[in-house]
Amino acid sequence: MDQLPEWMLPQSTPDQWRTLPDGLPQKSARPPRRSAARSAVREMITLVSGMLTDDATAARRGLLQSIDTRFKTLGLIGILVASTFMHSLVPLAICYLMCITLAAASRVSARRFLGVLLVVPFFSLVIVLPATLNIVTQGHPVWTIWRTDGMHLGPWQLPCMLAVTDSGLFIASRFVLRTAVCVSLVVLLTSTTRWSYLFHGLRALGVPQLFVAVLNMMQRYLDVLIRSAEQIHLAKISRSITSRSTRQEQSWVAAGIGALFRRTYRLSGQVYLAMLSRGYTGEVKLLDSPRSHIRDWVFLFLAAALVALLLRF
Amino acid sequence: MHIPDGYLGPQTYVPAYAVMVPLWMTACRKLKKSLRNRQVPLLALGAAFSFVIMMFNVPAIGGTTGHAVGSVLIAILLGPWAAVVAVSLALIVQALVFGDGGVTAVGANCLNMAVIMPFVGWGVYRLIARRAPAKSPIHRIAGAIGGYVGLNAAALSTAIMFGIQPMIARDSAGHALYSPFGLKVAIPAMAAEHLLLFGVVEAVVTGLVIAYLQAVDPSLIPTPAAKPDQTRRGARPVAVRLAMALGAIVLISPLGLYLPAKFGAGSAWGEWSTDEIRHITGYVPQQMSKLGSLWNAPLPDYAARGQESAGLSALSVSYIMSGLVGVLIIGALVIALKRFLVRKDNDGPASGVDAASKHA
Repeated sequence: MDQLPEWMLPQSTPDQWRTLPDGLPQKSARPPRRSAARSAVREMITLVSGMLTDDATAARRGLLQSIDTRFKTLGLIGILVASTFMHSLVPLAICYLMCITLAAASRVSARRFLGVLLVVPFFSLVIVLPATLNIVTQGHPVWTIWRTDGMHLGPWQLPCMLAVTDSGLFIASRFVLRTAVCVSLVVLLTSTTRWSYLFHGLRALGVPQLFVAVLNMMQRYLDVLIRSAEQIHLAKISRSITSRSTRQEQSWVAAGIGALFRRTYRLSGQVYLAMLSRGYTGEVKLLDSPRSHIRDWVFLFLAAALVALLLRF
Repeated sequence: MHIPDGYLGPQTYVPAYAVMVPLWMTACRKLKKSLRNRQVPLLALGAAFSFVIMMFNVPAIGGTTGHAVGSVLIAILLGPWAAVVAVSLALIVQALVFGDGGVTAVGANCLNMAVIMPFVGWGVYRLIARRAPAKSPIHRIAGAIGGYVGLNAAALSTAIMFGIQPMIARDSAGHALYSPFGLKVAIPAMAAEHLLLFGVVEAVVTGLVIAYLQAVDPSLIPTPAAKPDQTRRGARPVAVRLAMALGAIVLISPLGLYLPAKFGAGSAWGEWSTDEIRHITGYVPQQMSKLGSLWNAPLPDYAARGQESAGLSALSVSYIMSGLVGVLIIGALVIALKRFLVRKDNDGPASGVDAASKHA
């Protein structure tokens, strides 16, 4: 390892490749602008490859891991659909508590489980905040932010005050709680199911076999295409010293997508030939024939009972 | 544009699924015919490709970035029905695995990004590119315009889906159950960012990818000349008519953006929204269901019930019913379309050779 130049050592990052050698005249002291395309591709790769290969939670022994995928999908998606029918906060809160319990019983890491709250529910919270105000939602003012006392702004008469209303708060909390329940249920389903089994559960929801087979094949080649994208990206950053104009970056992204399309098209022809040579006749056959246990039926029954109970609220 | 769970009520997402199921089935049947067995790997890889496109961030004006959806690009390269399936599969994986877009909203998301967007964009592209040779610059221009229009059509229908939520789904106290902002807020918000930023990104990506493929491998650009079986003289009027119909809808649909500004201030909700919806019929299930209820039940009665917020379940039932009416309309359209296409297939070879020899 000592003979290797510093930039080839495993821990070196592409940032180090891009620093100019001492001999070259540097145009400015500030480092080259981080190319948006570059950081985005790297983000994408870490995110996707992390998720595609992360079967760690699914491999643990836990409650949801022991349930057959079809029953688990049916039960959890059933609760999810039911949650969109609930009108008051109490059943939604019970649903969320149930999600927490299931996550704990299935040993889903708290980081993964609570991390999803930062995406959709947080975003929802931000966009729903204006709806708590009296100008959007009529109601009893709870917290007055600003009294205008009928002030005029040019030709417009302002409303007499700006306040958070009780019904606004109710709408907002119901909206955010509902999105939190929904994303939590999806995380519970996907994190406790192995990648290779995830789509088999869709057959329980009535999705045709051909669709599931195509989904499974897609899942396999997604990995290949993402790796191709990574290579295209690496080839570019290892040949460029400074970032270029927006226009050039755009044509680079387009060329990357175009090259990827050619690869996709060629690969699909090869995959088809490989399928033919292995005896593919147009009929999709899957190897699995999972058997259901009593606990699967118990789980489904409990989920159905919960749904029936909460919808009575 | 990926609608998450909890933003749309069952009154919207159930009809969206009801519209999507026959469309998915039609797409599969169509592809089975045209692609034969090759469909399985091509669709799987096309779906993976569609997924990867959505993850390429594209630099835009002023240091901002956005990502392209790519539906129009896939529709141009593989055909609109292949785009329906490929983009739908990508959306399903995104919803299930990445929480990007909701599970209940898969139908609605697919309708926006996997049906409206590719068909509108592809229609515009076909209308402009017509039978230009594969290397002609018209293709990239047409592709860019198609991408821009397709994305904005999808954004508009997404905005309408959001915007009708407070009108159609209220609890017993009259409060919005799902997305709380009306059309007045949703449409301008969506229109602004898609007309100015994401539409430009989509146009740039679609146009530049076509330009790249023209330079590198023009055989991948499907032109009528390259596929003689699709340019029969007898069929041309149908294709042109189809494209013109799509184009007309596209031309009319921006009206939806201006109507709220014109009619929004002070006028009643129901007035301009149905007016606007009437302009864009045939695409969105809510619009279909609105239309359905327009024909089946008197709209005033229906709107009054929504205002009073009596019987929500009755409201949802009526919505589902009218959604089904929408499905029947679309089904009839599909059957009519299929009849045209089948007739086209029958008198194919002779005129195909004709067209090919004319080109030579």
